[in-house]
Amino acid sequence: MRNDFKSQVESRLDDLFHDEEEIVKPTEGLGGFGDHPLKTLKARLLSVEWEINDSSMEGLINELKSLEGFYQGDKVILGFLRLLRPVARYIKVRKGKSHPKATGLLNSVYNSLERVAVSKNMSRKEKEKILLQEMEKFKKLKEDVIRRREEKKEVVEDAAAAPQPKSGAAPAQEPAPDSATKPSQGVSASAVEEIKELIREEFRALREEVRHWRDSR
Amino acid sequence: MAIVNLKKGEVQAKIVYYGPGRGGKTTNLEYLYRKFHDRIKTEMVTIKTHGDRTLFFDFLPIEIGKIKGFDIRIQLYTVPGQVKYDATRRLVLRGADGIVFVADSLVIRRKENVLSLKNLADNLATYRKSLVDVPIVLQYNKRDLEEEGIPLLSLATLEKDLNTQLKAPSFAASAQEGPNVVKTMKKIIVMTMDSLRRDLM
Amino acid sequence: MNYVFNREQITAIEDILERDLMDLGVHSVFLIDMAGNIIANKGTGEDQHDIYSLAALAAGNFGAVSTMAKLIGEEEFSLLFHRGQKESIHFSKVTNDFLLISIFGKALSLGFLRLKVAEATDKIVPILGS
Repeated sequence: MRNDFKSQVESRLDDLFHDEEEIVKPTEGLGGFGDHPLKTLKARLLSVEWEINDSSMEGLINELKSLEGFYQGDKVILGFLRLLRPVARYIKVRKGKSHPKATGLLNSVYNSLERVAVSKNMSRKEKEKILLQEMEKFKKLKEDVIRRREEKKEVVEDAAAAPQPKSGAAPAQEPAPDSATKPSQGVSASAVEEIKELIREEFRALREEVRHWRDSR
Repeated sequence: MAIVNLKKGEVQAKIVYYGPGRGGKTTNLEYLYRKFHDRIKTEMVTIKTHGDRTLFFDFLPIEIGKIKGFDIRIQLYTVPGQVKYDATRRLVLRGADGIVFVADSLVIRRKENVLSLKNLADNLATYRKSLVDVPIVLQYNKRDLEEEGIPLLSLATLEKDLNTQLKAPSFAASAQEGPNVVKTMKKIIVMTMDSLRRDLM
Repeated sequence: MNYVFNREQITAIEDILERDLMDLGVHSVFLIDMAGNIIANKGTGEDQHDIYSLAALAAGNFGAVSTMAKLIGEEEFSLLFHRGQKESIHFSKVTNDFLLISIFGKALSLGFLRLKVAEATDKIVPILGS
C-alpha cells in the first residue's frame, strides 16, 4: 500500500511539474543567464578554458563575429567584442606559443563584457570606463608579446650555429657569449612577419574602435 | 620499478606489504611509524574506510641514508586486504620491487592466507612477474595472541602452507607489539637492494 | 624493469619542466612513474616529504582512474584534472610508465596548460627512452 501511495505521489508530481523548463547543467553561472545573447559566447569561452584547439577557437571566433553583427548598435559592447577577436585569433594561431596571459585576457575582457551587458543601472560613462580598462590590459599584453618576441629572437640568434645573412630589421643586440648573432632565416623571420601582421590588424581594429567611439559621443 | 637518479645520487624502491584482510599489514607500518617517527621524519599516509580498514593503500616513505654513495629511499605500501578490493591491490602492486607477505596466524584464517598468496601470484602475473622473480619475505603475524590462548597455526603449518616452494625468509612476528617487525622490514630492504644491484650491474 | 637516469637526462628534463611549465606560472610540477617514484620535480620549495606522498597518491589516483576507464569500455580518459579554490592539479600520461603532474593556480587557464604539457611531454619522451 505504501508503495502504491509513493508511486502515486511521484506520478502526480511528474504530472504537475513536467512542463518546467529543463534543468540546465550548472556551468559556472550559465544557469542564471536565461536566454541572453551572450550565452553562447560564454559557453564557447568555457570550452576554450578546458581545451584549446582549432575547433574550440574557431567556435569562439565565429560566435564573436556573429555577435559583432548583432550588437552593431551598441558601441560599448562592440568595443569589448572587438578586443576579444584579435586575442582569440592570436591564441588560435600561436596555440602553445602564445603569451601565457592571453587566455587570462580573454576571460577578463569577457567578464567585464558580461558585467556591462547584464547590468540594468550602469551608466554609459561607467561602461566606457570598464571598456577603457580592458583596452589598457589589451595594450599591455600587446607590448608584452612584442617584447617577448624580441627576447626570443635574441635567443634564437644566440642558438643559431651558422651565421646567415641578416633578414629584416634586427636592432643592435647585446653580444652573447659564444654564439652567432645572425638570425636563422627560416624560424624568426616568419615569426616576425606574423607578429607584424597581427599588430597591424590590431591597430587597425583599435583605430576603428576609437573612431566609432569619438563619433558616438 | 626502482628509480636510480645519478644526478641526485638517489635510489627509490617500492616495497609492498600484502596479505589477507586484517592480517596486520597496516599495523606493521603503523608500528614502524610510531617507533621511528623522529628518525624517519615523514608522515604516514593512510586511506581508510570509515571502519578503519585500508581502502586504497597506506604509504610510509623511509630514508635509510647513504649506502655506497647513494641515498636510499624506500617507499613502503600496504594493500587493502579485503577480497573485494582486488583491482586496487593490483594497482598498488604496480612497480613493486619487494614484497612482504603478512600471514595471519589465527587458525580460522588458514584458508585466507593461502588464497591471498595465490592472489598475489595472480596479480604479479598481470605484470609478467612471478613470486620467484620478486624479493619476498614471509611474516607470520599475531604470534602474541598465543599467550591469550587463541588458537594459532603452528609455524610449521604456516611454512608448509605458504613456503614449501618459495623457500623465502620467514619471521614469526607481532606487529602489534613489535617483535620482528623491524627485522622483517630490514630483511626485505636488504633483499630488494641486493636484487636491484644485480639488475643494474 | 628498473630505470637509471644519468645527470644529463635529469638535467634535460628539469630544464624542460622549468622553461615550459614553471616559467608559465605553474607552482609545482613532477615527473613520476606509475609506481609513485619521483624522477624529477620543480617547485616552489615545499618540504620534501609532501611531494613523496603526493607522488604516491597521484600514481594511485591515476591508476585507479585508468582502471575505471577500461571498466567502462574506454581505452583511457583524455583529461584528469581536479579544480580547487586556489590550486588545481592536472595529470598527464607521458608514456605508459610515467606521469606528469602539474599544480597551478588561478592565473593559468587549464586549456593553455594542457597545450604546454603536451609540448613538454613531446620533449621529455625521447629523453626517457634514451
